[in-house]
Amino acid sequence: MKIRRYESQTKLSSDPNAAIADPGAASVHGRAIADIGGALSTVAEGMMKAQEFQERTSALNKVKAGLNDVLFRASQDPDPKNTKKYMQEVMGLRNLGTEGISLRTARQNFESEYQTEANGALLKLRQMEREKTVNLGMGALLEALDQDKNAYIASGSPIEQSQILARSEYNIDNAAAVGFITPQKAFEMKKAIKTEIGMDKATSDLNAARTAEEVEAVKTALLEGAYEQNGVTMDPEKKRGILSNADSFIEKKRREAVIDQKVLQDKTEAEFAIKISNNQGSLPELQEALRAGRISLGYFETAKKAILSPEISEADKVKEYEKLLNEYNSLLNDRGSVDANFGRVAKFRQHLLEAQGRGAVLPSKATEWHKTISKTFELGLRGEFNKVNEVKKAGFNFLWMSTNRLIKDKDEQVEARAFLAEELMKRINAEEDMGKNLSPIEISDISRKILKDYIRVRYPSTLGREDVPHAVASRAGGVTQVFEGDTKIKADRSITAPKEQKVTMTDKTGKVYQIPKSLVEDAKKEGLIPAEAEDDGE
Amino acid sequence: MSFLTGATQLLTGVAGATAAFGQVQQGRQAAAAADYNSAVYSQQAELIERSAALEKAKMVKQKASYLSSMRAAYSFRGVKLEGTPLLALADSASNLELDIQTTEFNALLDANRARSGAEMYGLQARSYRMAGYMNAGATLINTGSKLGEFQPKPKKKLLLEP
Repeated sequence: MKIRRYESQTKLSSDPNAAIADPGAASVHGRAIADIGGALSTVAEGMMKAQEFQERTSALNKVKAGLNDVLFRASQDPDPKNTKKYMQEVMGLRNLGTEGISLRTARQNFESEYQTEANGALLKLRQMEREKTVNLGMGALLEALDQDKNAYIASGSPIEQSQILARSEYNIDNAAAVGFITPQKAFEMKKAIKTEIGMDKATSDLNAARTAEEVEAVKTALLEGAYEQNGVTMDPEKKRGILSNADSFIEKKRREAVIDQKVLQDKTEAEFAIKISNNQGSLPELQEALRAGRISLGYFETAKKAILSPEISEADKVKEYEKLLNEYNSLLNDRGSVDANFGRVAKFRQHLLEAQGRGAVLPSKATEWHKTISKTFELGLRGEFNKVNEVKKAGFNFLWMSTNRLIKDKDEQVEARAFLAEELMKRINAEEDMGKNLSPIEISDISRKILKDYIRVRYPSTLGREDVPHAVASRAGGVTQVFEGDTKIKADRSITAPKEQKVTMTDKTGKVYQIPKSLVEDAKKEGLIPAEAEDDGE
Repeated sequence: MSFLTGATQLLTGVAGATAAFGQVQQGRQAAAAADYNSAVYSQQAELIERSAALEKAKMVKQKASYLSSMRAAYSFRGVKLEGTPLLALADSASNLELDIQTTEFNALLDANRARSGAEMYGLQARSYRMAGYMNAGATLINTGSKLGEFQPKPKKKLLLEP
């Protein structure tokens, strides 16, 4: 028999059935905030990198500019002792660069690059210091060698010359020893000195020789080898050149001696003439000068007459003066060929002397003419007028041409030319005395201004006119061109001086002359004839 | 200080603070989730234990009932409780007890598994929290380092000697 019984059928569950959380998913919010921070951080890093670049670049630019400035100033400074100062400036540039840097990385990078730049600059400064030292050393050496050379040239003693050469070689060896020059260069310098110093001395002696005899002595010494002692040699070709020059020098010195003699004679004669004008000349003095050969016999005779001859009539004085004036102007006009006309100069001087004796020329005017002719004669004789004064001649020629065009009256032309030429000469000499060499254009301008002033004063009808012709002077052909253009030169050609009044005067022999009134007035002003002298009528 | 420098410094600071705050929050939120999971597992362990106790009681009762039924059946059929019937009864009693013990043991294992899960999530929560703080700390240190890039003017000194 089976007894039924209820048994429990349900099963217990131990599962709480709660969902499991995912920590990763649960923390999304926090991660998002962190990601935002990360993004901001990335931006900040970018900004820092940009700032680092900007700060470093700016600092480097400042440093590079500073380095260039220091290097430039150092290159201009010849004193090697200042190198340390420039090096300190280079090192100080580091602080200049870091002043504007706020990032450590930027500073570190800058300092690294600065170091490279500074090292390069310091190296360059060292090289410059070396070059400057060598240059100074070389300068001192060359100066010492130059002094030695001058001493050698000035010395006449072979022993002293030998000592000077030894000193030069010692200086060169010293320079090579301290590295200013290479041994090869030292050898070449010593060789050059020995091959050149003899030539230099011979050339110097030739230039210093004052007379043909002294040049002859140099030539003889050259031929006898006096310039080739103590190991000094001369290049045969150059030696031949010097000998050839010596021959030319001898000829030139002889020619100059003759000219000097002529000039001396002329000057002496001019001095006597001036003395006679001032009543200071005496016959014994003249005789003494004649005996010494300082004046010619012809001059002596004329001077004697001038001292002893009586005065002439007033009319003759005027006539004589006019004649002399023409001769004087003619000589001035022909000054370029005065060498060939030495006789003309002497003749004029004697004529002037005679006129002085006859009272036809005032002492002051005679003195002025004597001096001018003497100076012109010397210039012409030495060939300086033709060489140097081509440009001035062009100015004179311009005045000549202009006066011909502007002034119809021949007498007026002569007078204007003489006045203008003298005025031009004065102005040019005044400028040259101040050390200024005038250009052709400047001389042309001066000529034009003189002419303009002259025309304005002499011919008031042209007052204020700006149409005076101008010209360009040239060496080649005197006046090359007179510009007419809008200067109305054709109209100017019609300018005529007011018809000058003529004064009739009679000389001792009773001969009647028509003399321009202005000339008579001038003669009166200068005291050649009494102020109250009356003319014979127009 | 230039505008760019000021802006960069400010942005760096803000970025660091934001990232650190986010990392702390991230740690906290993950830790909260882990704490929650730990609580679920703890609850499950408790439920397993309570369920096992009920099941044991139920099986003890079933055992007594089953053995009573066997003894009643033997008595009814006049079988003496000796020899083989006794052995059968004893074996049944033994098997019933074994089931009770097995069930109890299994429940113990399940409870242990749930409890260890709770502990694991508890550990995770602490790790998340700690990781959040540590990441934030690292970010702040990094930010400080970056801000340290901005320096005051250096003292003037010569870098090189001539």
